Amino acid sequence: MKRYLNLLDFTLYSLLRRKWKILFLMLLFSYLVFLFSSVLLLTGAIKNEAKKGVRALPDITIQRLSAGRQVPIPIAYGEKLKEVFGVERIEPRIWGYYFVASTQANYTILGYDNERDTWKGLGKIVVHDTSDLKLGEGEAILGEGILKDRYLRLGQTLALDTPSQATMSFQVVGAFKGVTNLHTYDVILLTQKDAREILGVEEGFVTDFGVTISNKNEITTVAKKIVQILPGTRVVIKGQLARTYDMVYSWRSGFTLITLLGCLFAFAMMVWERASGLSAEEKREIGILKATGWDTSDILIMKSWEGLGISVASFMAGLIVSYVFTFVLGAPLLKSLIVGWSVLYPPFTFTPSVSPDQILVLFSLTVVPYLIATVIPSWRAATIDPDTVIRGV
Amino acid sequence: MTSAIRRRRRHRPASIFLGALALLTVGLCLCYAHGINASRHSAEQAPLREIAVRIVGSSDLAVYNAARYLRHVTLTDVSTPFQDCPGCLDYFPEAMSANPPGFAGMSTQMSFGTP
Repeated sequence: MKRYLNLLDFTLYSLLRRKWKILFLMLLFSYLVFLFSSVLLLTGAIKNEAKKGVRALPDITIQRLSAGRQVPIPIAYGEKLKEVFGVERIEPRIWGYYFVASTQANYTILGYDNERDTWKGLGKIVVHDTSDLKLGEGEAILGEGILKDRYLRLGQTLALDTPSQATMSFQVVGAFKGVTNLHTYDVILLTQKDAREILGVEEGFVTDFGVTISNKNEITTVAKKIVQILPGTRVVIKGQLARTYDMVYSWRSGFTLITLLGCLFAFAMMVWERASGLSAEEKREIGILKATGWDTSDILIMKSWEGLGISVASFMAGLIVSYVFTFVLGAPLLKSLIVGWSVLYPPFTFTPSVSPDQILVLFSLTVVPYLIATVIPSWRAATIDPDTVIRGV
Repeated sequence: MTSAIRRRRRHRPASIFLGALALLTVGLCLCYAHGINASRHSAEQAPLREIAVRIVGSSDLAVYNAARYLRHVTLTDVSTPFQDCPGCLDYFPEAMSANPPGFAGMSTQMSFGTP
């Protein structure tokens, strides 16, 4: 142990002779780790955030297509769906968007049915004045974003236009709690009747159906049956939605990582440059050590200490800074690239979701090549005759 | 002289370096602890979020609302231009870039018909 500590001492004294070069190298190393790990951490967190909600979704979503475009679906389709074996629950849903020209924002309007068991629990996520929250006609529950956008408070009135330009007023009876901002920031919850009028969905039609299947292993089979009995519909299963998040956010992080590839190439060139040969000063040092009685193994241990010390310390520092940057500071600038920006942008922080395999990949892409690039040329120099090395022949 | 050597030995570079590595390890452990704490906090809020998702009917994040076809990346709606697959690659700049700067003298609002 003492021998190793002495070798480490010697290595560090040797590094101190080149302290500015080493410091710059460590800064560059840490910066590279910081950049790549920040993108990976942020992407992992946003994917995780989106996927968390998938559990609560209906197993199958059914939409109707006409001339290649989505159109409202007849509510009578629900009767046909009941005939499919394995269908546990059918939820006809009315939802759509309301564009506000003055702020260039789209509100999401949802029709809510007090009677449906699946939609119970509204009172738990809404701030409201009354003890029993029941959404009535002419009443609305708003997301925090809309309250801010319209400068509204509870008890005040929200005016919305129908497609025929008639204005309808809704009393704000509740506001979604901040904890649900990521899903409700731009949402206006109305009764199904009011939502139908604002969105212009005719009687007898709904926007889509959410279907819950009793046996989760049969989702694909039931989806195939639904396509057969309801031709002209698009059937989307829950698994596809989860994969969509992977695709959407992975492609964004991939795009960002591509722009950072230049840094990785610069680092690879530096490693390559080192691997292709030591500097004359380093060769002379190894030659002198060999001439004074050092073994090749001692020199390899010394160089391993050097490589490990620089790369592991830089890697750890880069990782810590990227964690703090992403999860404590909220990833300023990078958040715009990966998550985007918006007119009504909800304030939120990411829940850390660190995948060990990503860290391992980053470790093998940075620390391992650097270690190899430090040890191999030293081993080559250490096996040459010291006299030849010192003379620089 | 002896005390000077002892002092130097106490501050040998190996000790300082190993101390720095230990500090970095503590830093990583603190990050891990922060992560565990944040995950616990998030898990406490999870039931409320699940209710929100069940009521809203979609797990899509409310972070893109300037374009209708981006608000719900997994589900299309009547106005979605690309309806061929859920989550078709978005091209609208809102989804993956910083907010564009205002252009002097140019209206950023869309209007139809005669003003």
